[in-house]
Amino acid sequence: MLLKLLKYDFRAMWKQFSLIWGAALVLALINRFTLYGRIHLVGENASNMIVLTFGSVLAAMFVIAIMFVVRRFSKGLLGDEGYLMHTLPVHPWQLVLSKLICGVVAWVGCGVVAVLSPAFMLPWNLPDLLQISLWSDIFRGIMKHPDMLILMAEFCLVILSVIVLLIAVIYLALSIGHMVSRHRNLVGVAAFIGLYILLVNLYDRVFSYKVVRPLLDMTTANAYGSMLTAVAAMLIPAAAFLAVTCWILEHKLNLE
Amino acid sequence: MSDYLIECRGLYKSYGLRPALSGVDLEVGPGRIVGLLGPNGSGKTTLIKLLCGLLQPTRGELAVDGSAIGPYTKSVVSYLPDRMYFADWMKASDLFDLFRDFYSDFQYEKAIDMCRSLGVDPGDRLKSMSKGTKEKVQLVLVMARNARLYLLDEPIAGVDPAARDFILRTILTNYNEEGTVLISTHLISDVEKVLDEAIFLKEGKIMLHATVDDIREREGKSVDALFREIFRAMPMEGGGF
Repeated sequence: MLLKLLKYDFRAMWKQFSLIWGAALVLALINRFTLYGRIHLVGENASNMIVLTFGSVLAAMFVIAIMFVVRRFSKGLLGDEGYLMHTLPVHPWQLVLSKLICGVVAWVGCGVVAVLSPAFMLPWNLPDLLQISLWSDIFRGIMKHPDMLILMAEFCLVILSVIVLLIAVIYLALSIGHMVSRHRNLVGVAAFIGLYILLVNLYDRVFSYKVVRPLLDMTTANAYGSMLTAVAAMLIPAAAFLAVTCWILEHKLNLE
Repeated sequence: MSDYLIECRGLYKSYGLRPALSGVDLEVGPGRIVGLLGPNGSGKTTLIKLLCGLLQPTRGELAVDGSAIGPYTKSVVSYLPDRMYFADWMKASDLFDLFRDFYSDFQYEKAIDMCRSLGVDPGDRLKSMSKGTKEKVQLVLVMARNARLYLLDEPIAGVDPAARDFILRTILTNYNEEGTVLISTHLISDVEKVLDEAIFLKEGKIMLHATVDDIREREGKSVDALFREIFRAMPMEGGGF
């Protein structure tokens, strides 16, 4: 059932992001030719405008990504669409997990577009990029330092954990807001701020250096351990927040 | 497995301090068409939402087909809410795909046929449809299922008399006859002719639960006439209500 839910959540995501991701990449390509082209296709002012538009599209993309996570949960599960989603023969945790996975993928997608699009703007020489020798040199270079690959993978895990934690906080805040009959949005925002303060205090006290140090010593004495500890430190509260969210949806759902 | 499709014991639901249902005890068997009748605010929608799992009871017990509300009961319940519940970017056919994926009793071909007979193009986007057409799509989604329990919340509210007949005919010609249909409404005269049983709800309490034949025989009047008698608003002195 989770896969079926994901199918529909991903379709909704694609509807939302396909246009803006496409726009960001196309604008990056246009910038590549207006900024570095041998022939000046447009004037300096027009070129600046295109750069500005590109920046605005990237900014809009991240705003939409945040709104997407909020709306897919608040409207999709706690609003009118919840009448459909909560009458499907699935468990509430499957609904939450599906939205979470989709939200993470949307944010990662925005991140990838934000990294790729400036790369598109650089004055690469296409025939050079298509040479096999270039890629084999890069591959050999990477294989000489496999540690770097592990570090990069762990870094990606840290980024994913941050995203999961942030989305979990948003979901729990919205669910807490749903438990009151009036001013749900206001209570949701207050709950988000409260949860943020709670997290800061939690990290300050529980994951203090004294506690983390032995953990680091237990894992490894190098950077790998520290990143994995950071992943655990973020995923543990995220799991707790998601569990509370599922509990609220299962026991306190109130689609009046 | 229980003989009853719906069982409520001491069901109580409140919104804040305001009770919506107060100690409802109810048993409904299979193969019945039941009218859930009561004025606005009597608790009809609350009871239906509790049966769907959209609300959680404050206290009391509730079972559908012998099971507590959960994925199983949701797989045998076909629910028509009193509002639109789908995302505008979808087409009607997308919704049929969704229902086919999640409900093993959904009959895709029947849904397409029903759409054609109702003059709806399944390929149209919901965004471009009128409110009435969207309601038809929602009705098709519900009635194209071979469900054990149909929960229809005010299916004929806010439409003209001709449309009411049309909706009722669609329901009667498409429901699973081994299942039960629970129709909530306050338009008694329109549904009375199709009902097997009637449940009168008043201020969150069941005033009466009997077969329509019993009501006519015992009271010597129609369900509509009895409803008007029970729920007649008493004017206050001075002409106000």
